[in-house]
Amino acid sequence: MNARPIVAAALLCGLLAVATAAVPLHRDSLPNGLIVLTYEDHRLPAVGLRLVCRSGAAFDPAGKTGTAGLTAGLLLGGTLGMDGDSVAAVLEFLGARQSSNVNHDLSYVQVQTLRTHLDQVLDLFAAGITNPAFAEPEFEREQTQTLTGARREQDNPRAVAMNECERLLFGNHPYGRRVWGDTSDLKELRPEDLREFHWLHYRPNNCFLVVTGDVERTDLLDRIRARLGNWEPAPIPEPTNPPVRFPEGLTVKLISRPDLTQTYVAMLHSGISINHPEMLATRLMSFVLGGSAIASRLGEKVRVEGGLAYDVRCWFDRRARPGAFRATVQTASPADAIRRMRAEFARMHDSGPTEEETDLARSYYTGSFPLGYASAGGKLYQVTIAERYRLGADWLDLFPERIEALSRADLTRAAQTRLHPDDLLMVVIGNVTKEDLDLPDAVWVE
Amino acid sequence: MHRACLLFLALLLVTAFAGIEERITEYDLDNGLHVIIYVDSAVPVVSTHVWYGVGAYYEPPGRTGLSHMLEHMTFKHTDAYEHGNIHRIIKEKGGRNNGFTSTFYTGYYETFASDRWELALELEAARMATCRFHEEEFQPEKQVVTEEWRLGHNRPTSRLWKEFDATAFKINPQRNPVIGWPDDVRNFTLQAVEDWYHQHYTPANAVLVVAGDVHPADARRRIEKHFGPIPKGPDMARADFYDAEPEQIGERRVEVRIRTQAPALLIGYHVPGTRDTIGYFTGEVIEGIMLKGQTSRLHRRLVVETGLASWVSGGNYVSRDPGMFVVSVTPRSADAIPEIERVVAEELALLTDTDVSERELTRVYNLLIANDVFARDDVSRLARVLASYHIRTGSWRNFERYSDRVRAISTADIRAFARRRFTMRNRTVGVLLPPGETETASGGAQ
Repeated sequence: MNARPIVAAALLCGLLAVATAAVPLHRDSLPNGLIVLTYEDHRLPAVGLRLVCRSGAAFDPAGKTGTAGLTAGLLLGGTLGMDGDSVAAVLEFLGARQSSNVNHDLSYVQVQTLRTHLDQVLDLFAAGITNPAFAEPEFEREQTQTLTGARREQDNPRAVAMNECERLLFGNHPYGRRVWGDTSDLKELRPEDLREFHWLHYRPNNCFLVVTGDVERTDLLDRIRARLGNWEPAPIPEPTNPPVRFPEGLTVKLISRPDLTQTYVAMLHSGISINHPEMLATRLMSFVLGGSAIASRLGEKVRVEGGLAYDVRCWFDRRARPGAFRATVQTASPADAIRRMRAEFARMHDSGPTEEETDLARSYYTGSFPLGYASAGGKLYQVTIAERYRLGADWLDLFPERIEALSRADLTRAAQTRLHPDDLLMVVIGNVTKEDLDLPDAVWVE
Repeated sequence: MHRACLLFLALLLVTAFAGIEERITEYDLDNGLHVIIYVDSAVPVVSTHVWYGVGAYYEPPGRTGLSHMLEHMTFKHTDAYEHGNIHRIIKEKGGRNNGFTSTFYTGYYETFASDRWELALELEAARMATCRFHEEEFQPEKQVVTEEWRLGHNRPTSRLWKEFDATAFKINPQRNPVIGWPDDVRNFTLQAVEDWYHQHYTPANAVLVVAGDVHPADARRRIEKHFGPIPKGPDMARADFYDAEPEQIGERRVEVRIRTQAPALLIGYHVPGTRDTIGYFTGEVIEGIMLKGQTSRLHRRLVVETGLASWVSGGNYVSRDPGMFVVSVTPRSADAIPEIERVVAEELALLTDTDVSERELTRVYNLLIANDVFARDDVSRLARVLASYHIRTGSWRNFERYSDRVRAISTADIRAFARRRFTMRNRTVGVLLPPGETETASGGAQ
């Protein structure tokens, strides 16, 4: 067994001069390869369990988008010995909460329970993970809900703009697919597709379990070993990642929606992977550029000075494979807002942040670090990211000092190499014409 | 497990860790500011909330949205902090912050690492005492609020809710959107905003909650330092003008015909506010029975058994004033709406005819007890809960009493509530449909 205490909070104490007890995170592995990350916290008689599978929507088979999402959604929707209604009845009677989610890179299912019901909940949790039924009635309900979700998303112009931009940017690459699946694929999915996805990807050597709350590590490991020790490992298929040809120049797609009182703009260009050595510098640079709708360059120019939008921001994806740089705005004055945003992209690219802005970004990231661990949800999230992307055993320990080590020159270099203000893909949805947008350098696509 | 045994276990748990009172220091400053300090030193984080007892409820006709506009302006300028500085200073210290306006309150919060939390007091004291209002900042911010209004206007479900509220309430200001009606927002003057500030942002009309890694005596000293010198301000003679919404004397219906891919249905009934203790907590129990979880009655009937709907949600939406018990349904298709209305009416009628089983009640109690535990996990969330209970019900102690009050509700209370409230004449129905269909899809089910 491999136990490694990460005393993130204790190190932070040194950095922030905050006196507190350490909250240790332990990383253990079972013989079948299942990693168990335990974050003990005895303040409340509650436990959070999250099973993360390292395969997300990017692993959906061709023509079967939505498989990962439906699979995660139905893990606790019935087991081989118990239908979905019975599982829900037991969990709800115990006051437990269950949820699931997927993104392109991972899937997870989680349960929050009172400590006293941990054994009963672990029984159901382990059964759901290893022997889900994917029975027809539960499958149909989940499928219908996902299809309704897709229809509802069509009512959200911001999501439509972003989805369309992703599709155009990534093409056939899995990151170009809608995480929850395309409607046409979703309609054709069958329970067998979920069983196959589960068989291939939900293996202990492709999963990790994060546990936070009122548990004692060695006791917990015994309980987990008893339930998941026989879970069989297997080779995991790799996703297919066709090469992406990112567009050069300004490419714009206009979708006319005369009923809208605002124009929704999404702008994307190529990004880098979360494991790229320049990712931290890129994040800080992006924070200065558009990390907040108010306290950032984009916020200052578009919202504070211009009064042009309620929300404007930008960020870089943090994904296993190189993702995208994204910027969004919703405004009744799209030409003005886009012009200001592009000017800020160019200014950051050309000159980088100031020394003062660099200081602010460093202070924000180090100062806000403990806030990310202040709740069970925060701990689950932080540990999930660090483990899924194999950020390194010392990631949490060293994060603050890695941030402190970044200089203005690092951020400027990131701006020059990672921002491409002239190579933007833009989707615009609203009651506007090409002429209204005043983009003389644009290549228009349908 | 037997219900009595299970309930006993849960009660033991809550009793064992409760002690919320032992962690709280509560007092008034001489100027009338009510202070609640909650100590939780497990994580080095402190969340500071200041909530004012002003919101859409208090706005006179023609001035709807004034509280929300003021909230935006209080981030602009104080004697100590100039244009944009507030957000920059908070980011520089790694803090998270926001403001929010509701029907009955306006709240602000900052969450910082505990070695720098005093900054929150400094900022909030400045906001309370020395906001300055300038025309050159007001005009762009009015545009920002207009853009925020447009965001909601382009969300079909948001428009349905606005129409639903305006139909359900004739007099009570809950009929008005918190952001205001567009003409009112357009006509705001800087003077009106400033007058609203001086009238309502007084210590005696606010509650300060500090939650997290603090020592009560030290926190008290710092609070006195920053808030003690603020003058008491004028006494507010505030009447409850709108308490008596006239009794509804017949069903009300509203149909919203706008572009949408996902029809929606709201069914609401006027129900008592928190000042009617039995009525309020009966509404809470019925919410649990009908709407909470996959085994709730309406989820089972509409989603599992009949497949008429994809989702069912809603709740007992009340504050100090009477409000609405709302069932919110996402139908599988528009055609299903009349049948959904019939099923909802039938299920609510069952409450008047048949006693709710002990097992069903236990499920609700257990869910509420667990929620109570989970709410204490995050100091920022708990601070919000404490402030909310103080403003909405007069004391945070009502949060602590919540489980006991819910358990005191009898099956006879439920029957009496249902008989009186879930009637056709007390019902309001709102339907969201795409344009172009000539017939009404909903049909006044009994």
